[in-house]
Order: sequence, then structure tokens, then C-alpha cells
Amino acid sequence: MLLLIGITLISFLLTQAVPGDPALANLGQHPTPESIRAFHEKYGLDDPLPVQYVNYLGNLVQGDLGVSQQTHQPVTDDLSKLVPATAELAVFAIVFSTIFGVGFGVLAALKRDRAVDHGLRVFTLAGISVPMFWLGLLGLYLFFFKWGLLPGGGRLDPTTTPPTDVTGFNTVDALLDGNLNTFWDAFKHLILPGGVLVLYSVSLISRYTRSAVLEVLHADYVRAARAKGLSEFTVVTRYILRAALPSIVTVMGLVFANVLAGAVLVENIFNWPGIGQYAYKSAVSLDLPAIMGVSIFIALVYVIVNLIVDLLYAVIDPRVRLS
Amino acid sequence: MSALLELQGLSIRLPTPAGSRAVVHEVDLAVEAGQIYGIAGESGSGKTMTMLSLLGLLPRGGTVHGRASFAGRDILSADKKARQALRGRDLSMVFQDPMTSLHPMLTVGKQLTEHARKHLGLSKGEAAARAAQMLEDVRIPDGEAALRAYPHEFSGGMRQRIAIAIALMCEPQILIADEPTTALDVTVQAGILALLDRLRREKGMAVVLITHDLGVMSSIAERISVMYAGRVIESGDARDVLKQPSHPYTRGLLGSLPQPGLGAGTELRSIPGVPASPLDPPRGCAFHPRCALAVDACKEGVPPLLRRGDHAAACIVTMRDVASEEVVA
Repeated sequence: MLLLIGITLISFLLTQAVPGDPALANLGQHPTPESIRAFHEKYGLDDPLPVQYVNYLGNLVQGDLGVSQQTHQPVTDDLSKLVPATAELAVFAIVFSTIFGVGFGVLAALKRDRAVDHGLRVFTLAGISVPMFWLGLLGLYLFFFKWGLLPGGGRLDPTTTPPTDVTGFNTVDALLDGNLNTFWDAFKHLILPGGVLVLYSVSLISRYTRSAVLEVLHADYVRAARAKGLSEFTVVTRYILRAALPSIVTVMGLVFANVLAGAVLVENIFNWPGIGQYAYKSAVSLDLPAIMGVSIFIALVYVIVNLIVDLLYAVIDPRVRLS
Repeated sequence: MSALLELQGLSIRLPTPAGSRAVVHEVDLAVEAGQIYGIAGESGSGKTMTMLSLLGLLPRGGTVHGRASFAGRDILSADKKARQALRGRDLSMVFQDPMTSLHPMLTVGKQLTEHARKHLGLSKGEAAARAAQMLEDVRIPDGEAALRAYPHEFSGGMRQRIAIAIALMCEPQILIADEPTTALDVTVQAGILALLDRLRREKGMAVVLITHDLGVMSSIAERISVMYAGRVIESGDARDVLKQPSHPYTRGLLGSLPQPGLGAGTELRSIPGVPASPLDPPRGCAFHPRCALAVDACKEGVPPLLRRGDHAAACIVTMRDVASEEVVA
């Protein structure tokens, strides 16, 4: 709770510290003094800062994030429309990067210093070092412009019938409709932006998993498990992976944060109508209520993810449960 | 008749940064059913590696040469599946440190039953019943509740009992106990040793007891082999070896046991020098740089195991009488 108040305070002060007048940024090329004054009046921009902040908090606890100066919609409405798109992208990225990241990490650790390990090391190092925006542009150039294999942006082709809105995930909704064409189209739109996010996350998870596995690979209990005559598969999954799981969960928290941050870049490159793009648009137009709303939302998600990670530790490791 | 477990000329090579090195040389051992066989020697003498090689659990890149047979079957040339089926079922091993040899995140019950279900095809209920019984056998109170507990809820001695129970789940014919009491308090030690001895008598199982503690050895072992720098340098009936040690190294080991009666102020005796590195042993008898009896000939060839009746030692000085006989023969 204290954390959330801190977040609101910091993001509030940061938005105030930005030079420039939101009125000028929003009223077009030649605003009249009257329209500027009206704008200031409407959004309460002339009140003293503490008053503005307390007003904001008061509205916040009632679930009111203010009205976006850009879309003229309540920020909460904007967010609820955009969050599913980002969530779909994030879930796609996290699911795939977990599967492949853990797989690659275990493989690299088991084949330590062999060709597979070296190959994966180069791959993951590249995945971590290459900037996401560059990768996004490269993907766009190759797969869309050059080869025409994948769509260049958006969530669906304009010609595709959008699915009935149930979860807000186009892929899931399309499946619920039983409409495979729409599903496939939605999935194809996910591949490039999702792939860019996956490549980074998969590298991060893979490197952490590898070192976590190496740490327990020669543990006494792993040798004891082999001495019991368990199959290699059981030894790896039940003994090694289980022991490495806390480290993997930790990096998952990190990955989640990275995916959210990456979403701002990726959504802009691929014209993905999610909160990343919204954040960018509101930042360039100094749309203070929207910036605050996005910041608070992302911070809230982040706090929840960290809470889940902490709870998972207790589920995974019985020794944590006691203390 | 052939022994239950028999090693002939077993050698082990391990990869090192400086290339492959032999760490165990030409080890011969014969363990009879129902026997407690002690293997003594300090750290790095190759005791553990010898036993791990039998299970096929050498570190990556390690190779075994020579012969090892279990109940008449060759185990070194058996395929992976066959050895996996042998491990934990006929040949079980208990490791040194009970604090690290149990998985901290799996319940005791899971760790007790998983291999029994695999090897013996027991149902979940049967395996659990057997596990609870096994915990009673190793004197863990309230076995039923212990099955649901995690290792950190037990003390070191209890954990070692649990580890032993795990090893005994499939009623193995041989239990290899690698320093099972080293990490434990003396009082707990005695309990574990008594337990091993009782289980041997009740279940007719052979125990290979690896230890560097000759005091432990003297209390329960029937036969003893002493290893130094990867070789067996003395072996024989436990009483003979401990009462009349023939190799200077064994004498040194026995001499360095602290005697409770002597009181404070008595200087503890130790073997001078440092243990020979198994990777780069001295030429000739590996013990000669630390040996008070060493003669020039000790630096020449590796001394063979010389037999006096049932008792063998690899020393050309103390076994001089036999040495000349064998040379004649």
C-alpha cells in the first residue's frame, strides 16, 4: 500500500517536472490565450501542486484516473480497452520464452562445454545484447517487407472478422468462436512482436536456468537420486529442475518487467494497440492523466507479480514455508 | 565359491585439466553375502571412486578398466538400462553427508517410495506402507507422519537413518555405506553402526563400509582393505589387520587414533608428511616419502600385495620374509 502511494507520488512529481505546457501540446498549432486558460481550468492545472495531488488521489481511490486530454475518454476506459491487447502479447511472450528458455537452459547445462552449450551461449548473448527496436525493425523488414510471410502490424487484418469480445485475447476469442481463420490471422499478427519480446526473454531465462542447473547438477542429492536407479529423465525433472526452480521463478519476475518495458517499444514498431503504444502517445502529447494512469497500472501489475513470485517460493520450497 | 561382489584388477581413470589420470589402480576385492567389509583410507585414496564405478556413477569422462562381478554377473560391461535396474535395487549406496544427500524440496515419503515403485512395481499404497515400516526399522518414530515431512524437519542423525531407509527400500543384497557416520556426533555414530549391523543380521545383506575411521571399522567390520593413493595396500581379516597391521601406513593410521585414557597433554601422533596425490603419486611405493621404514628399494617398483596366509600387505620391508619366498616361488 505504502508502495503504491510512493508510486503515485513519484509519477505525479515526474510528470510535473516535465517542462512544457500540456495545453500547448494538445491545442494544436495556434492556441488562443482563452483556449489555454479554458484548458487549464478544465484539468485543474492552475491549482497548487499539493492540491492537484490530493485531488488526484481522492479520485484514484474511487477508481477514477481522470480524463485523457488526448482521447477525451476516462483513462480507465482507455486502459480497459488496451490492456487485453498488451496482455495477449505478454502472455504469448512469457509462455514461449519460458518453455524454450527453461529447455535451452537445462540443455546447455547438461551439455556443458559441448557444441550445444557454445551455440546456445552465442544465441542467448545475442538475444540479450541486440536492442529490441533494432530487432523489431529487422523482423519487420525481412518477414513483412522482403518475404511477405507475416503481417506488418496491428492485431488483425482489416479484412478479417474480429472475434466476439470475451477475454479480449483475439486468439482465445477466435477459438471460442470456433473460427480458425481468425485465430490463425491473430496468431500470425502475434508472431513478430511476440517473437521480438521472446528472443530477449528466452535468452535471459536460458542463461539463468543454465547457471541454476549447474549449481545443483553435482549436488549430493542428485547423485543419490542416480544411485537409487531412477531414470535420467526423472533425475533431471524431479531432482535437478525442481531444485533450480526458485532461481527460475526469480528470473521470471525480471522477465515480466522486461516484457512490459519492451511492450512500449514493440507496440510502437508493430502498431499494436496496447498500453505500450498508449503510454508512448500520451508521453509525447504530455497527456498527464494518461501517463499517470499507465504508470500506476504498470506499477500495480509489477507489485502483484512480485507478490506472486514470493508466494511461489513458499509453494516450491518447503523450507520457506516455516519462516 | 565365488563372492557376491568381486573386483579384479579394477582401475579408474578420471579426466583432469592436465589430461586423463589413473586414480585407482588394480583393486581386488571380494565381498561375501552377509559380510561387513570395511574399506579404509584417507580422503582421496580412491575408496569412493571405486564404489561409484560399480554403480556407474563416475564423474563425466571417468573410465573403468578391469572386472567387477555381482552375483556372478559382469556389471561393468552391462548396458545402461541393466545398470540402472541394478542401482538402488540390488546395490544401494548411502552417502557421507546426510544434510545434503536428501532433496530439500521433496517429502521424505516421495524419496523413500519413488525407486521402490519403479524397481518393484509397487502401488502407491504398498510403497507407502513399506516405507513406513522401513522407517520403523531404522528407528524413526511415527513413520506415517515422517513420510509427509520434509528433510529439514529432521536432525542429521535422523536424516542419515532416512537415507539408510531409502537405500534399504528394495532390500538390496549389498549396501555401500560411504562414510555414513563421519558427519555425525559420536553418540549418533554408534547408533547408526548398530543399525547397520542389525540390518545385516536380519536381512542377510552385505555391507561395504567406507571410512577413514579405524575405530568405527574395528567395531563391526569382518574384513578390511586399506587403500592408499588409489591402491589396496593391506587387506585381510579385520582382527588381524587391526591387531597386527603389516603395512607401515596402516600402523600409522592405528597409531594416530586418539586414546581416551591418555589424558590431556599427551601429544597426538600423526603420520608425517601429506597424503600422496592420487593424480601424481611418488614413484615406487606411494607411501615411501612418509615411511620411517623405507629403504632404497621402496623407491623403485610398486610393491605387490604380499600374502601371509589370509593377510596381505604391499610392503617389501615388513613382508620381507614372504617377499623372498614369492620371489623364489
